[in-house]
Amino acid sequence: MADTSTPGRSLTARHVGGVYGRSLVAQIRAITEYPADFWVMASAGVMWNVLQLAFLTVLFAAVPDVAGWDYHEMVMLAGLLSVAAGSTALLCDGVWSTGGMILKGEIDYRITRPAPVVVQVATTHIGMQGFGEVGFGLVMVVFGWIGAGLGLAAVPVGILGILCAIVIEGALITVFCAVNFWIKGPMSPFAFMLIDLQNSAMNLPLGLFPAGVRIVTMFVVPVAFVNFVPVAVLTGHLSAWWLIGTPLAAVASVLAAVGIYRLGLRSYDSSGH
Amino acid sequence: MTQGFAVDRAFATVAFKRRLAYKIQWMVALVLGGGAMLVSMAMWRNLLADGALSGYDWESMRAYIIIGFITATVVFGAADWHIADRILDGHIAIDLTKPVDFQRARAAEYIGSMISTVPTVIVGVVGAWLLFDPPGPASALAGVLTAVSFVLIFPLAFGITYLTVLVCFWTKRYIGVMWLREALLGFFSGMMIPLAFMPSWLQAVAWALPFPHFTTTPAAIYLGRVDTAGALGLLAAEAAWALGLWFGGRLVFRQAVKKVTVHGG
Amino acid sequence: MPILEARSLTKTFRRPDKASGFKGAVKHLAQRRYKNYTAVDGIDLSVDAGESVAYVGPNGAGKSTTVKLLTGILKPSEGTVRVMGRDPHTERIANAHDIGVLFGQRTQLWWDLPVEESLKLLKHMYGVSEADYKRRIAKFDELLDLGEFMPALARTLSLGQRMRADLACALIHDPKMVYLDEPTIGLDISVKDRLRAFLRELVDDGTTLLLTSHDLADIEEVCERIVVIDKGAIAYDGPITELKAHYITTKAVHLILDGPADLPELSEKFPDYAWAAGDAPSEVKVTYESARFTTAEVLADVTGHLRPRDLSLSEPSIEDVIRRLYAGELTK
Repeated sequence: MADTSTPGRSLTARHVGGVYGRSLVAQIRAITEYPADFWVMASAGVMWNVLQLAFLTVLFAAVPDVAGWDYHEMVMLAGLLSVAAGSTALLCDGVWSTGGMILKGEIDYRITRPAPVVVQVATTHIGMQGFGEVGFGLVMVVFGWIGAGLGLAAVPVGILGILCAIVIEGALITVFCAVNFWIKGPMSPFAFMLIDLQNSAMNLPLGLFPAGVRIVTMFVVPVAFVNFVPVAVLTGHLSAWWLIGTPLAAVASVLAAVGIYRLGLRSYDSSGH
Repeated sequence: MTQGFAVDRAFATVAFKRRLAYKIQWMVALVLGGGAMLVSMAMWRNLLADGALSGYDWESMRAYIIIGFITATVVFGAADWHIADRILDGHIAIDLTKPVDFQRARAAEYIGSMISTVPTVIVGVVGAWLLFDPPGPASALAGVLTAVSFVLIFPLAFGITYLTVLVCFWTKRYIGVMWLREALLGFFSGMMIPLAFMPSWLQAVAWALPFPHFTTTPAAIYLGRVDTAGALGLLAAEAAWALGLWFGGRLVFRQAVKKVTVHGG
Repeated sequence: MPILEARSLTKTFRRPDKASGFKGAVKHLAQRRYKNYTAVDGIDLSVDAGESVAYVGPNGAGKSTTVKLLTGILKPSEGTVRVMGRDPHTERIANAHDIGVLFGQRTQLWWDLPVEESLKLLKHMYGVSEADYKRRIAKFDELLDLGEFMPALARTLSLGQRMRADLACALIHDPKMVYLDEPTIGLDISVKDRLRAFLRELVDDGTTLLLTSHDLADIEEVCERIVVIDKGAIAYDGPITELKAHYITTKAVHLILDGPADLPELSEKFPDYAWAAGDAPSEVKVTYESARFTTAEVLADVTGHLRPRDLSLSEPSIEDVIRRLYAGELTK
């Protein structure tokens, strides 16, 4: 049929990027409707990190290092995780609604529109805590960077690390939220467990944990590449070769997220009758 | 009066059952609480390998971490969402037409949901006991008083939670308020790191807040860091906070409820 | 060539089979058992361009599931769907440009944004040109009075406003094939009238329409063809006029008398007519086959005998026919 070949019928990166950008910008406008929420959420984001920094400061008043990592290195570790988590809140917080939308049949309309469903879902919300997390997380990264004696020469590695960290974190959260396509529920317990366990464990050097934990966090659910590997490479705890794994983990995570979301849509059975 | 208690019990039972029905909640609570406990154990074992720090050796730290797990599981596992949702979706307008005291009914529900975390606590504690073999309480009396301090956590947790939930009269979403509260509670209770490690000014700040009773108070009593008089003093302070927050909640609610029409329930 | 074609379309859902209560939940956890439930069972449907089809059936008959299959939201368990020659599920993006969808029970507006913002986002998503967008918005404004709530946040709209805005969302890209699932649900009479007028105009302009509704006035006013579905299968498919001609074979006269009516006596005297009690003791309803008797004959008989104070004529509505179709009293 002639129609199939009309331009604009297939998805181009430019079109998808445009839809993504516009939807997100529209959400920023929606935020201004609720100033009280903005301030509560942003200060919650800052508070988590202030207390994380306070924890490290209090701890390092009593100990010289944790498994060979000093104060500034650990501040960077916590800061990078915070930047990654906060960025996903700003860039794709809507994926957390996947479960709720499946339950309420709200995926329906999105399937009938000419844009990827995951992009439409991801841009339905902005986690305002992200402003606080990214802001204070960057402060911690810079503070740790300078304290650890890293110079400007390492900045490109740092930027690569941050970009990959954001991509990996966002993709992994998407994967775990997409579990709701099969295990129905309004909440996303698996994604929630992911970030909570990350907050407990990944703020610490991996050397503290048994080998099994190291293998899982590097090769199964590659959260180690979000903050541990880049910081360990920058500070010389790991050889520079490990850095190659960071973009690889990013690509693998994105492929997994897109694939699982697609599989999920195939088994989507809407709700009601 | 008995009529009142029957209603409380009914609310608590419903909340308890509703929570139990959420099978996945059990697993989540166990993975999160257990995971955090294991991470803490790994870190402190490493740090305390060469001897005690700020008065804690590896032996006492094991008990301390398990106590932190118990309070965290009970407090973070309770169903504070239900109260927040009632305010945010306007259901509160219906609640206010019922011949039940709003705060008391929510307290009963909240405590019912806290009780539903007990199976998780038991599984976690038994597991931790087998893995880490923590020391017993300093004395039998200390054990009893620790249990009392755990019981007092129920009304105290409600008091703090309820006050923060009332912020929903002014916001659209609850989650930010919840995170703020949980962050402060995690830090100032001593769950993240014992208060003894903190500089004295920070300890003073912590003790000016209700949070230390969530880990530091039961741990101090359990480990014999305070004598019987000191333990009773801590319990009195804990009870005073619970009572004070209860009436504080009433006061704030009276102001907040004027906003109900604005939310348009 | 049909614009929409479904062949032996079937959708089977797997539902967990568990007893209620805590015990049931535990039992289900131990041994997972499922029941298969066929919502749509071998439907064949072909719609030509420009047709307006009403798709009706009782609750749970499989209407919404069919719409979801036709729009590509659900993947058929068996059978095929083609919309303009494409499979709407596998060729989702290409298909999306040709179809417009409205689910009356849900909105597609962005909840926290002004209506205008939602429409603009959709404009970009569908790649609608600025000129087309402006022209269509102006038309929607004229017919649906969109202007009055364009700047309002979606969550502050009344149901009628929301539905009008959703209709604009569904049509902003000028789709060739439009599916409306209960577009008038919960609306008051005046909004319904306005919506129907709008839909008639849409059909007159050549848009192909498939509409489900429980309100048969929607169907009679907007559609020419009716498809009745029951228990997942098609019970009737044909022009509405034919449905009426075929099944509406009786007419009735309502009489209001001075005193109570003696039904046995009337039945004996006029055995060719069916006599039934009315709403009050002094009211009776006479039903007769329109092929055998003219209304004048019946009236002459009846008024000669009864001298009613007042009378009225009624023709069974399509609603009655469909009610009887649902009840299984009529077969194709």
